[in-house]
Amino acid sequence: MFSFKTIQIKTLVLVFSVFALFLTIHAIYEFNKIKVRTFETLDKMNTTINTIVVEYTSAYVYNEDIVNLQKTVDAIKSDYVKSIYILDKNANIIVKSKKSTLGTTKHPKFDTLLNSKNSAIKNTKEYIVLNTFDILGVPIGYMILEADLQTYHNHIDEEIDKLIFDALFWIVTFFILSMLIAKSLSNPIQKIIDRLRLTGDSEVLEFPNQPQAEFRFLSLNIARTHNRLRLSNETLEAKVSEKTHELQELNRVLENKVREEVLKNQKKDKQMLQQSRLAQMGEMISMIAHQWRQPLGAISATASNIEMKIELESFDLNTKKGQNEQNKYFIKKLHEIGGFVQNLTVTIDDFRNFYKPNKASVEVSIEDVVTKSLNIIKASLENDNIKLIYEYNSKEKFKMYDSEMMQVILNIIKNAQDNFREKSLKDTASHNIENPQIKIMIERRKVDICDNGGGISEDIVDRIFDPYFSTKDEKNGTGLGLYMSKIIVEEHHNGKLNVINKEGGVCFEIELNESV
Amino acid sequence: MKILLIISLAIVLSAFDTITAAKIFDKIFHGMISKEYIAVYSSNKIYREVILSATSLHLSDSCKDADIVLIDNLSEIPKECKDKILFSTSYLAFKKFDNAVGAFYWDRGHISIKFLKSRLDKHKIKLPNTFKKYMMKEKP
Repeated sequence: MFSFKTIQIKTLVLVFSVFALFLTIHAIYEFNKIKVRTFETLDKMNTTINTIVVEYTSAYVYNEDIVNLQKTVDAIKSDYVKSIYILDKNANIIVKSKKSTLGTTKHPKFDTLLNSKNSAIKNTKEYIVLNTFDILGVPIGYMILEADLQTYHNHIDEEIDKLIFDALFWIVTFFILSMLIAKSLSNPIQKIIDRLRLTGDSEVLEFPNQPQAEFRFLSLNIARTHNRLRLSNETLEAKVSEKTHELQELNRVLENKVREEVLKNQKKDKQMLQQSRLAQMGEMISMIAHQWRQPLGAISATASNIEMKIELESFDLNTKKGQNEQNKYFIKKLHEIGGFVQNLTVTIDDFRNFYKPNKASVEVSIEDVVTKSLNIIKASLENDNIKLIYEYNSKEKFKMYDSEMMQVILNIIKNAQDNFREKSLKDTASHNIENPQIKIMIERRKVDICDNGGGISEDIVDRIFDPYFSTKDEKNGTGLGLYMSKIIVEEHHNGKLNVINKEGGVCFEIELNESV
Repeated sequence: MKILLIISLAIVLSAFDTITAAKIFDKIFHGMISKEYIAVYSSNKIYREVILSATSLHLSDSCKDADIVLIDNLSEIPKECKDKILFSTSYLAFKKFDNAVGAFYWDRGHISIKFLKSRLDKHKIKLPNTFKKYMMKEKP
């Protein structure tokens, strides 16, 4: 509940609180006693006055001797008395102190007093007592005594002043006493603490002899423990130093081993990437062959057309008009051949870029990467009657290793193409796919490549990204394509590559991270 | 002198309340004698009225038939009543007559009720405990 900075303050507060509690209880008790005592004084005064009045005025009351009654009542002098009334047996006032009254009026509180307990009204506001004059129980008159409560209050005030003065005296005395007790109790502990503060960890600790058995026991044990710890510490420091040295050595060896293993892994990854690319190269040659077939055929046809025109002398070279027409024809055909050659050049540039190792990331859109990939494989897909569907919804450019991403996209599309080919070779109604198609959807940094090739069996779907896992024959598959694709997307681009079977086919979902 | 005393007593007696006095004598006499109605004889006119006002006291016409004879300073007691139980309303009469077992009188402001034990014993009167404070052992 409370926290104290030192044991001395705590002891001081506790001891003083106990004293203060007793003092408070005593003060309350005394205060009540003052009230009781003051009322007792009033009661005594009433008894005395009553005894005197009964003794000396009963006969006057009996005989209603007002003159003598007035004299006797007036003779009573007391600071506590406010008024004395003498009443006849019918409760009519016949005498009032310092004032003679004929027996015609009744005291206003007579009935209340007569019916109240002890025939009195006693409180801090009024003190009125009814006394009866009687002879053998036969009432002959009454006396009402009203006390002067101002004197009562003055008396209480005086008593309270005394009480406060006493309390202040005791508070100061108790505080000094509490301080002395607190100091006396905490001094031995303070001495032990001071010695502990002054003694360093490596120094021998000794305490002067303590007079009290408890502190003697405490100081001896602290000193023993400190000295034992000091010795243990010295041994421990040497051991820790030795072990630290051993650990540092072990750490160095481990770091070297880890570095070696990391380098080995990097080398292995590089080799596998290269292996995978080489495997793709063979497939690419076939793709390029398909890609080149159409422009080469067109160039050949154009050349044949030109040759035929020359052999058939289709243009009249003797006329200026014929010469101009031939020139126009040649220029047109040469432009066409230039266009076809340009097409061949783009294809070969994309192919060359694909094999150029990526040293740094470049800012490019996914659409560009997909387009370049399709430039290589599109003709091959068309040759197999595989329909390509595009849905490009983003031209956002961001940093990536473009040739690596081309490798991923080509690999997924090539796998789909191989699947269609395998199923068409089986040539059965159950396996043949009527309208083979590959759908490519780009949404911001996400590319979905889906086909309708029947999907991947649930038995193997969890293993398709494992290295050297392939469903193709040995000639067509190395088992590294999807493994490398996963490495490229997830490790080189901090992205995700997932596969799911969807709508009668398989979907590869590539999601690239914003920071490469 | 006698006339003056009579006048002064008459003034004093006229001041006090007959009914209250009757109640007091009723209490005193019933403390002395255990009878429902006690026959009291008094030659004093005022006290005769007091006896008449009391509910359990009977005013006796002759001293001979009375249980108690109420006397005062001025009373003359008939010879045949000298052995009767006397009760006085005066200290002097209480002192004077040996048969006066008790007295009820006042001196200035004091009211006194006195009984003498030896005289009570002589008449075999036993007072209740509430009367003990009024008992005297010595003669007045």
